[in-house]
Amino acid sequence: MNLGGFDLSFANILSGLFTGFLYGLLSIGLVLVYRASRFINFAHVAIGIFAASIFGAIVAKQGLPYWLMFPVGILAGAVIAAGVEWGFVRRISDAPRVLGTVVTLGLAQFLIIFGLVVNQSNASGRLFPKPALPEFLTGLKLGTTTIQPSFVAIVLLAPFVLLALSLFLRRSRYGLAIRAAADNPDAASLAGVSASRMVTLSWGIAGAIAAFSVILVYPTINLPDKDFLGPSLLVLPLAGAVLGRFQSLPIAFFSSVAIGVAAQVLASNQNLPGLPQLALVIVVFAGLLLQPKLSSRRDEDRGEWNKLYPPQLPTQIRRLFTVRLITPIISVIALAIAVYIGLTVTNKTATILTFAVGFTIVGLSVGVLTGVAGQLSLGQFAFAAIAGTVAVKVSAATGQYFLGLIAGVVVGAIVSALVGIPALRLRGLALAVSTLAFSFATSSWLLRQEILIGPTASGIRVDPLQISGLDIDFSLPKNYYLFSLVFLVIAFLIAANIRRTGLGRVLRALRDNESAARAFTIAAPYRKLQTFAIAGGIAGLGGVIIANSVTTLTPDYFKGAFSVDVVSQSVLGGLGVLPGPVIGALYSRIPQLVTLNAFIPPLLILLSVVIIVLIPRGLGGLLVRVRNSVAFGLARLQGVDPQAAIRFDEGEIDGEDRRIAVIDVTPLKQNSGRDPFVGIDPQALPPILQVTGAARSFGGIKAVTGVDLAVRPGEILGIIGPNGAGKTTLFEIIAGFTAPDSGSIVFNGRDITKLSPEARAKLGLVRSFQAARLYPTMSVLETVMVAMERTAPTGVTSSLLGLPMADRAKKSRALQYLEVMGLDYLQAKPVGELSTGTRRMVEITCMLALDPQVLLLDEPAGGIAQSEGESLVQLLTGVNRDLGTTLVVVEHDLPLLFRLAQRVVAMELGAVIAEGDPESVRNHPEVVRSYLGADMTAVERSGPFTATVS
Amino acid sequence: MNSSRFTIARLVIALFACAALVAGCSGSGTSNSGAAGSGGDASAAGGPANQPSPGVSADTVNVGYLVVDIGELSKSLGFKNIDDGGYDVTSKGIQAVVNYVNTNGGAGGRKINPIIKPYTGQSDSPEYAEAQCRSFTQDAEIFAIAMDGQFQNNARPCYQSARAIMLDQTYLPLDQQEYQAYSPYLWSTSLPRFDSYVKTLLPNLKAAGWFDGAQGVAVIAPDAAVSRRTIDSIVTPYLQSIGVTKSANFFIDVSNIGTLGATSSAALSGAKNKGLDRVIALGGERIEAVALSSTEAEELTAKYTISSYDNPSFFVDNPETIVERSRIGMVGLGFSPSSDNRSDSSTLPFPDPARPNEGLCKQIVDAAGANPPEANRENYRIILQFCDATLLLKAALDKAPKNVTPNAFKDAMWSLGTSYSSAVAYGSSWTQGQYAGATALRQITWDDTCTLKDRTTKGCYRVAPVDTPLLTN
Repeated sequence: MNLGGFDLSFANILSGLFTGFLYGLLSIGLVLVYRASRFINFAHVAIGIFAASIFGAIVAKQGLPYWLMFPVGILAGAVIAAGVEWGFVRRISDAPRVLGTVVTLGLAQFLIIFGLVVNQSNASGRLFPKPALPEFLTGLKLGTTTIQPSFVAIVLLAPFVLLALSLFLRRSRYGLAIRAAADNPDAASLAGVSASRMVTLSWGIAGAIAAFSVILVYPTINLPDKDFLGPSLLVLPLAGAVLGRFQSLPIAFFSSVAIGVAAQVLASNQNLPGLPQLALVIVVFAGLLLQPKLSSRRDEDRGEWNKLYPPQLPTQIRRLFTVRLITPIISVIALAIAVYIGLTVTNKTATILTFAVGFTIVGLSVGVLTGVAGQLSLGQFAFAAIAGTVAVKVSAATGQYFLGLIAGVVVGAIVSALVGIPALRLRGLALAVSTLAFSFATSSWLLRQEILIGPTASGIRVDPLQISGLDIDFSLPKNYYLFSLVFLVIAFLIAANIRRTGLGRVLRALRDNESAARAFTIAAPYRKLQTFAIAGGIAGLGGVIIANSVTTLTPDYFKGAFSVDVVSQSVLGGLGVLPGPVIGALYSRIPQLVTLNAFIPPLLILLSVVIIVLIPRGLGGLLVRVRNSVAFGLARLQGVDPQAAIRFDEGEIDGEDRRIAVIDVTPLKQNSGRDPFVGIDPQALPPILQVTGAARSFGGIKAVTGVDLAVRPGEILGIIGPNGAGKTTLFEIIAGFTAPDSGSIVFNGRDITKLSPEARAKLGLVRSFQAARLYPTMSVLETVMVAMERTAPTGVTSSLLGLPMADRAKKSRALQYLEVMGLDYLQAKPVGELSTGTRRMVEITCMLALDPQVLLLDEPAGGIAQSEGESLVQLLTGVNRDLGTTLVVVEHDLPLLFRLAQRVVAMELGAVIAEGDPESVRNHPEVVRSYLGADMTAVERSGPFTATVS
Repeated sequence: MNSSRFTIARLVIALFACAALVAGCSGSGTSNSGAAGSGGDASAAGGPANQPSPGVSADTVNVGYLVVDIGELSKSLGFKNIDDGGYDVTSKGIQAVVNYVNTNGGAGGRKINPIIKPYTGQSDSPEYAEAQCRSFTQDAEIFAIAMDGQFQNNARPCYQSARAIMLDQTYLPLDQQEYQAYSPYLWSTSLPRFDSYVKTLLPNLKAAGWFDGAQGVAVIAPDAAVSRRTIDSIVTPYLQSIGVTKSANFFIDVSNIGTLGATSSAALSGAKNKGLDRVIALGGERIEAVALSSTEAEELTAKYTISSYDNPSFFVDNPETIVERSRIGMVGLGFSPSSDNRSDSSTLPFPDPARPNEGLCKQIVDAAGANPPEANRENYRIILQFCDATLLLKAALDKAPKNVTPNAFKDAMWSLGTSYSSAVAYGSSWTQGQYAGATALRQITWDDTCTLKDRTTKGCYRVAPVDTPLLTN
């Protein structure tokens, strides 16, 4: 049956069903690994392919019986997968997930190429050993369609595999342990389950399933090739796994089967090539966006980004004139070499080098998007492709090269921002999946639209660049290469400026701790889209360079797999290092200048994977170490002791403790826009913050149940209650991080119930966090400068141009706050290296820099030494009195709170049980009862809780 | 701290960018010549085709030779290919042919300066094709290039933009519209016009009884403009005219090996699902070889066509790879004796006395010790192609004016008529409006009773002893 050009015949749907079975089995492995380790194994299919290659080579060459070797092949898949987890992924488990992603992507390439080398005797899938079935199962027919033995075997065996897996996970001790370790690794560890061993076991099972599937299906693959077996094949089961939310094995399996059928039907329309890839993007985007709470907090990337950042030079050394010259000198030398090469090489070499420049510029976009903002996109080359094509077309239509360039960059930026929209509400690796799908849809479908390159892949002709007034023949690749270097330098400086200025700080803050950044008024959605747009624009520039370097532009210049390559090379070069993408591009593109033996490319890929695992900071990180050594040498020559300089930044000066006991915030009055509350009774004023009937449940748990709260201007309101009373949830509701099920929040007379956290913070309603985690990779000074975003938001243009004025003013003010708080001696120290108490003080400094009207403090004494409690009380009292800031404080240290607060609200089980002055609340019978059985050591940290008779 | 460290550098770059922007906006820029193959005749008077050709001096003419080296690729894919001696032997043979021309009056009185380079199959990609083109046209400044195996869509436009004459032996389907778009640069020395080829093929298949008893016909072809318009304008009307009521077209994505494999097997699967039992494979590009090595070919009981575009030698040399049954009943038309006539000299002796340049080429390379390992026509295929291109170039340049331009070269080619005898085609001519030299075809049929001398498996292609004239209208 044919409907609108689509083959809906039984036979065609049956074909789709069978391939869907393969995708289904593969998706199960993906889900299994994700559930166990919160990680997408991009090498999953490749592991199956490599195991199948070993199996095929043994059976075909040695003539061993199929079914005898079948378990061996499956075991090989299990061992390889477990080996990948144990030998590679686990080694970098504390680094950001992008590293693990790139490692599995690299291993996938290696395993596929090496598998093809091992399996040369089965160059055609048809020659691969087929399942030897009993006679009554061969030549089976459904209607007029003969069913291939591979499919008979997979249909017969797959249910057993699914059943066995289900029984294993539900009934066996190991299955229980795997599920326990996946759901709560810490609790599982306490119960004696080795979480890491269970992760390895899960990978092994997934690898076995992959091997099982691929061995059976390999004979149906016409021409096994790296282009076919690579990421493009992985995208299909990934889509199924997405629909199963990476949680449900049955949903993932049956979604994948449906995807297999849909892909088969869509591919049957000969007039609409690329339709399956387009549909896949739609499915993935819809799957990601329409599912509520796709990702939980466990899906967050908890990796330590500082693993990717090489150590900074100590401030004293960095300021030395000779040291400041190192980077410019290296840059000039590198540029001079690049120019010299352009002047001396052949046009053939220059052609390849120009591609390398384009790749490098796209890599710089990865450096910004992933290295700075922490967003992993596997689709950067798609933006390059679209931008390059648009540029060529606009240039052709207008006769203006630079108009085309601008149009290309702008379109690249817009498309990137649109594709980045899902990132606004998704965490983890979901963005990687959606951008990967987009990348393949771009090369298979989008570029083949008439408005871009066209349907037949014949390409569009590109005339050489001409610039009037310049008598340079840009049709010569040597000249065009030199021209492209200008744009490489521009892209490099833009990337450098982003890293160095306020925009980079904001992006790093969002990456390190999005909640804290939003509490610091940073508009996360806006900044993220901005970043996608900038990265898309930079990638677009790379695409424009490539597109204008060729005589005919075809879709093959922008293969989907290039997006993966460019991320890999950027990670290899070093994501935390500005020239990382350049170094990575040199590693990956230079070998293309020579003809290599077939074994060399896969070995180079494997080497890059090993380098990433051993040196997460990449090759660029090594260069930085060399630079630092040179800088230390120069410092010694000028009488500066590097170790002393390091200690100085650490806050140690001759062993002296520079923290000050009593902090006087009066110097900060000049920065505050309010009058101090002196001589005014807060209770006589209308509430500045009014909470009415706020309620919130999580499943069956009622965290907050109809709380009413009125906070008057200038008062210090304490909120107490035992654990689970709902204090923090109430804070989350007030600050906008959790939406209430019912009730309203009014601030300064304005209903802010629907406002985002950052919008509330901008109005002056600012909160702190229990853990005061702040931004671990940023220095204390940078952290305070981020807090200045409320009063002086960073402008994108000034950041891109690297204009220093705004930053200078911000820095000067931040230093003032640090001096007042007695923290200026720690300004260069990374926040991640501070003690909890010091971090708390830095957080309070940031709060003051935000200049809030109402400050919501969540356990401000947490982590602060008992002896410093009184100083904290004095500090907060000063903030309230001298800066006119209203305080709402949640605190477990009740004596401290009672010394601080003028009024106290007590909560229990989500409801307010008492309210009034500290004395009356302390003696309220409900309060006393609620605290019975509580850990009084914590409660009485800074003094006795029991009432005192005055 | 260091915030002002690069301020000056930033400003300089910003100023430079602004200056460049202003310069660019105020000047002329690029123009787009549209999709390859859809443009008009580039040989218009006053155009670049009337300017003196590059690579020509008073005494010498630079000629490029792009020799495809698929040794490593074949190894990695596990395919067997005819042993032509490899790149080194072919290079030596090319040098011998060039020496012969140079010692026999040169090409138009000029000595040929050969630039011989390999095109490594493993590296095949648009970037590589572009880089090789730049190497020839801009580093070596060639007048003409003799090339083979150039399937990247950007290759020909690149040489065209450099005004290099292409003597192209690639088995790529190009119709007259496509040749005119590349005029006067692209010349296929051993191929027929694709539209003419298809016009000749279809009645030939009918006459051979290939359509008899057919349930329906599948047409598989590369997803390219040439294929689509050939099918629309020639194949579909013809099938309707002979009463074929059930047919379907399948377009193969030949962008890379992966898409080629997937879409070609999907095409056979589609044919099977639609109940079609005849498959016309059009346009080569490895489509048929790849399709017939798939499991789908085992499932589809059908008869197939065969042509030189599909390289029949591959089907003989890789009997394990190709589904055996698919070769039974194969019929088609060939245009390349060295591809069609695997080790069978019964209908066409090697060298063929009727085509003197074939014997001359063999004699030249043999004398230079550049002969392939075996003295069969198929082993000589590559060197014969380069020899033929060189001799044709000499013949045309001998007739061209001293101040040669691309258009003058075109006129010289068209003045050859039948005076030049191709070393690699059954028959050839160069008359007004003709860009593809082959004018004669021969029917190829699969014979599963014969056994080739170096084979244990049965089966070979039989080539008809008489020519089938190419239908041009």
